Amino acid sequence: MTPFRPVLTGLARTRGVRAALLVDARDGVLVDAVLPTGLRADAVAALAASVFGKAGRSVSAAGDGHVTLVEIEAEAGRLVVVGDVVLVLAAVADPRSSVALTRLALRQAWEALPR
Amino acid sequence: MMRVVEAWAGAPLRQFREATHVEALLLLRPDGQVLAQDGLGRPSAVMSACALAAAIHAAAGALGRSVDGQPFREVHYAGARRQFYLTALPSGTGPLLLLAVFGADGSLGLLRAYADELRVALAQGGATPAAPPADLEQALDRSLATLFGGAPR
Repeated sequence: MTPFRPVLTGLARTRGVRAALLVDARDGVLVDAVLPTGLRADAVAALAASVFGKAGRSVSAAGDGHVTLVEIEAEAGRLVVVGDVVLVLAAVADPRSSVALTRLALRQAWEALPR
Repeated sequence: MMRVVEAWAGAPLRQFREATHVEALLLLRPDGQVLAQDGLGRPSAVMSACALAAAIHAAAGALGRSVDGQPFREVHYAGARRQFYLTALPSGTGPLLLLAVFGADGSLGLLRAYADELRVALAQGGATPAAPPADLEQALDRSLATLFGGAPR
């Protein structure tokens, strides 16, 4: 268990959040996660870091500074990601969960991470 | 341009290549026999890479058994300009090795995720397990000839 587990556990307890993952931003390798069985954590982690990184480069190229949040909405769920160049924190949420609540919980969890 | 010795491996490898944008990749048997390659121009480069990849896999396996009781499944090296990732993949014709070379800013996690998909695809491929070649050197030469054209030496 990593020092990040309590924060991830708290995030995963947010209503509508199914999984919380902390990922190495550079390598896309999973650092720690709280998630249900059956979720392909490594794949979700790698894709979340990749999407966040690519969004960051796009935003930077457009002269808009650093990306602060990326959200992907799909038929069966939402992926919400925050982070920086070192770590990425991702939440997988139910499609009908509160967008505002998920984002708030994710940002609070990010601030609470021991770094 | 990707060249394959075993036709059934072509489609999964192309999908992997397109998804990951690796600079080079090799699919080989643990004895060093190449089955497919992309991004390594010369036969000598392919031969060297296969021999080294097979040796690294064997050494990593021995090290894993020594420290962990079971072989290490994959090896990752991060250099200043490039990274490589070497992993074992089961297939219908027996165990295979995948060597992928990618840039320093590439994502290891993404590569591993797509390698898992490739692992599933290759496990279903090939009709029957390949018997160890009676003459390994001839088998290696035939593979290279298939990839690069020309008669085996």
